[in-house]
Amino acid sequence: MRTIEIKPVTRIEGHAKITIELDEEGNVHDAHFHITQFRGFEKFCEGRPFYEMPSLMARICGICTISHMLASAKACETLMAVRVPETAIYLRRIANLAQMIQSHALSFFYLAAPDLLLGMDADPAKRNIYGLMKTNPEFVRDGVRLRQFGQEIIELLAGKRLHPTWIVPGGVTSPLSAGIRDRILTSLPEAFGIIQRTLNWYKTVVDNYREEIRTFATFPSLFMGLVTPAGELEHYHGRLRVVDPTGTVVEDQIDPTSYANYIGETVLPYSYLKAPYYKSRGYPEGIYRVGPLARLNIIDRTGTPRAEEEWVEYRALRRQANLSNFHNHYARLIEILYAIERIEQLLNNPEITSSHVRAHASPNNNEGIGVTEAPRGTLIHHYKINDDGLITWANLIVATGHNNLAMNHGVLQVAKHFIRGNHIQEGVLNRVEAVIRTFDPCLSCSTHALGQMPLDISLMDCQGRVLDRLKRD
Amino acid sequence: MLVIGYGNSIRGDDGVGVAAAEQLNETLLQNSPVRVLACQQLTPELASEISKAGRVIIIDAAKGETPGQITVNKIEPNNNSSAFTHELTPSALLACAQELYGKHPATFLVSVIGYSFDFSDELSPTLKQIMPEVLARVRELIDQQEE
Repeated sequence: MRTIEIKPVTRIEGHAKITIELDEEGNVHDAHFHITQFRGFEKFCEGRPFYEMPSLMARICGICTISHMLASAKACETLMAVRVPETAIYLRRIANLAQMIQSHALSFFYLAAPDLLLGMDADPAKRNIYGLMKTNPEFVRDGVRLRQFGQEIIELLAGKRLHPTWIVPGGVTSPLSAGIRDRILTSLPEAFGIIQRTLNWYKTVVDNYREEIRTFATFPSLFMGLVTPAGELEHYHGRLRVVDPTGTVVEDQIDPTSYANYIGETVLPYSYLKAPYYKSRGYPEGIYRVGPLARLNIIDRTGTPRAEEEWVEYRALRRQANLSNFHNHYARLIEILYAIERIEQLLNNPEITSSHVRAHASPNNNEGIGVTEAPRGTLIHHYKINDDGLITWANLIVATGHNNLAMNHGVLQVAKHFIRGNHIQEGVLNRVEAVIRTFDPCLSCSTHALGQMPLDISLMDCQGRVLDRLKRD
Repeated sequence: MLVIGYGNSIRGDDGVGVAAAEQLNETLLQNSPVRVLACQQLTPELASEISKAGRVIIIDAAKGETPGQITVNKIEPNNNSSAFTHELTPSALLACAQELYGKHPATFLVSVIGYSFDFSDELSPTLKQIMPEVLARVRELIDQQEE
């Protein structure tokens, strides 16, 4: 028995390692994706006033700050039993979509594109964004500009790009001026041009990755996310929908505040990351995926014209639910296009510059749940407070957590396909990492399970008996 | 002229660049040709901003044996960043500007050696005391440009 370790896993958000266990013949027997960092937000927020939560929880992540603020503020608004002004909701939606653009651009252009453009077997010293700058500077400039575009909108709305304090329980702290609205509208044509150019290019090369499409976490699973009442893409409110691998709706219009009736959570012995599962199928059969691929699998239509055209073409790749995680890359591009269209629609709403953007209230409930779609998938914040408004309990289920079982399954699948015998090429190990990258995991967000110590190295036999274990004290 | 102060402002003296940038920004006139950015880390998006500037000053914290010591060095493009992250060194940021936009302006790195990098949203007394000198050195560099 031999264990191969990939440590650290590169070009992801956070720290992780993968172990692959070989049997005596050198064939892959098992594989695990280990999250080796620990955060603990659910515990150290206890005792804090509830109204601090959006700003506190925003610090979980430097990429999807806005999503955490939104889910947190929505949970607080349930505690307050307050009605948020419509204009505040429009502005929050714009910020959330802008964040999705910058996050998806980071994932696609900075983290995934080196594999796509330079090749899975390219020299690892050059297979990165800096290597791409030399070979494809125009492509990188597009990625930089698209990311800037999303960041600038957040800065214009919220005052700063990272960890703004603009989203508060009850709404937002300041309205949008007509001047800023017009400035953002002026920048939209350039963003449309970049994403359409990138989509057009991607569609010409996607067939080059047939083997990766076939083997990168391509397996039957459930898919979950928010949809509108009409079954369209939804990233802010909406209801949860679950579809099976055939694309059949298993459960629809679930009130997100009843998530605990549908989602169970277990703890894996080798990771700080909790492993949620769909309760009615049990663990581990209730494996499901969230994120761009899942969102495009669960909807009936996108809800915007240009993204709809692209989605129809994308869905032609497979009539049923798209099972290959590799297509997350494609799905991210379509979601960027959708986000730009929705931002344009929202900015052209006459009410967008209304000054009524915040409601005030004291706590009226002792329990609150807020759910949004973050770039990487469904994000759930659940709080309980005492009568003084202090947090007594918090539970977060973030996108990377939802995808935990699927990521492990994907690593095992790609390892089994590409690793043969004792001879292991670097490019093969990169493919094992690359399957994780298709999920775009955010480990900073997802690591808050308590009481379990991660294994640095585990050595197991074919029956799953631990032969040796090296454990941190 | 572009001034970038960067660092982690909740890790004590690591935030000296951000603090200097914010204080400098408060003293600038409304029509000042100097643009000031404060950020936590250097990312590739800043390459675009740098390529549009005539001259750049970057303010950062440094480790060393003499807290409060200020050094000013002209830096050149050098792609020495890790491929693992999206954080860049000042030299790597210049290299990005050169690769992507075909130019990099004259760039000066103002390094301030910190005393404590523990969790704190305040600078150490040593660096608070030295802050006027940090700003004076930055203004000298700005004035050299204007001359």
